[in-house]
Amino acid sequence: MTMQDLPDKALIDACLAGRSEVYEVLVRRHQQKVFNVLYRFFGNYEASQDVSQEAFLTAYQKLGMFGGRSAFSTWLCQIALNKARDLLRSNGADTLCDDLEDHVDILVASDATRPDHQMQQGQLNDQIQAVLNRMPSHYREVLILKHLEEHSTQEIASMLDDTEENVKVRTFRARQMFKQLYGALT
Amino acid sequence: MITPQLEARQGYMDHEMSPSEEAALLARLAESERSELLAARLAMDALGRTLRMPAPANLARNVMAEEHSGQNIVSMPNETQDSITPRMIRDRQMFEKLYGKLS
Repeated sequence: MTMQDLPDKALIDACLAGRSEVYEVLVRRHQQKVFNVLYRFFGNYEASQDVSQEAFLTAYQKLGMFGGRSAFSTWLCQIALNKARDLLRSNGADTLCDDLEDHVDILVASDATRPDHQMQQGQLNDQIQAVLNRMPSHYREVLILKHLEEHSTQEIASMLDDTEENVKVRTFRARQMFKQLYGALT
Repeated sequence: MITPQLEARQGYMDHEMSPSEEAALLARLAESERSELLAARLAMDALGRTLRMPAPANLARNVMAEEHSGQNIVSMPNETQDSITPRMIRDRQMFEKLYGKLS
């Protein structure tokens, strides 16, 4: 059996037993999810990269406190979103979207030979991110977790340290706002 | 406050209803509410189809480089730096008992 075959819990146990290098397997396993949540949250590549890195380091330092009540990826996203909100607060802003266009270009240019429907997907992606960037962060995060990462209301409540009822209400309002902004854009 | 109406609309948006339940819900709504709900679901479906931005290739390497810098030590609740090494030895023994020695 290789480390890649082991479940998260076994890898966490290995890290706690002093096999710190095993943590790299956990990072590689979950980096795409954490990075994507942050990228949609910020609309900014650099900030998403920095905060992803910080979140994984904080998770490593607090690994002994991971109780296993939720999935490890849920716990990671909770840490990442807390750090994302802290960064926005420290900047006195609700979004960081200065280089959005540059990084939408990365998506579009990543496959220059792709057919028309994929080019249209790139434009759709651009529009969606523009709408997300205009939303308050407390609405943005529930939509990302619900519709992009497909988490349940219970998981989102756990990540956001909120009640399920509040998450449902917040999701409803966020959808209303998203629909209005998206409708105005398309 | 979550009303049954709101709950039903959330279920529709989340594709949690059967086709017959969806039809029954839409039939109960006024035309303006129905088109609003349909538009909202189309917008949410568009959101769900957005492309994933690939994570930076060096992310895991950077995390591990920081971690190996020695400033990041895994700690347990209420644990002091002095107690970390004995606990690590104990945990390693427990880990190897459970999962065997990793290569």
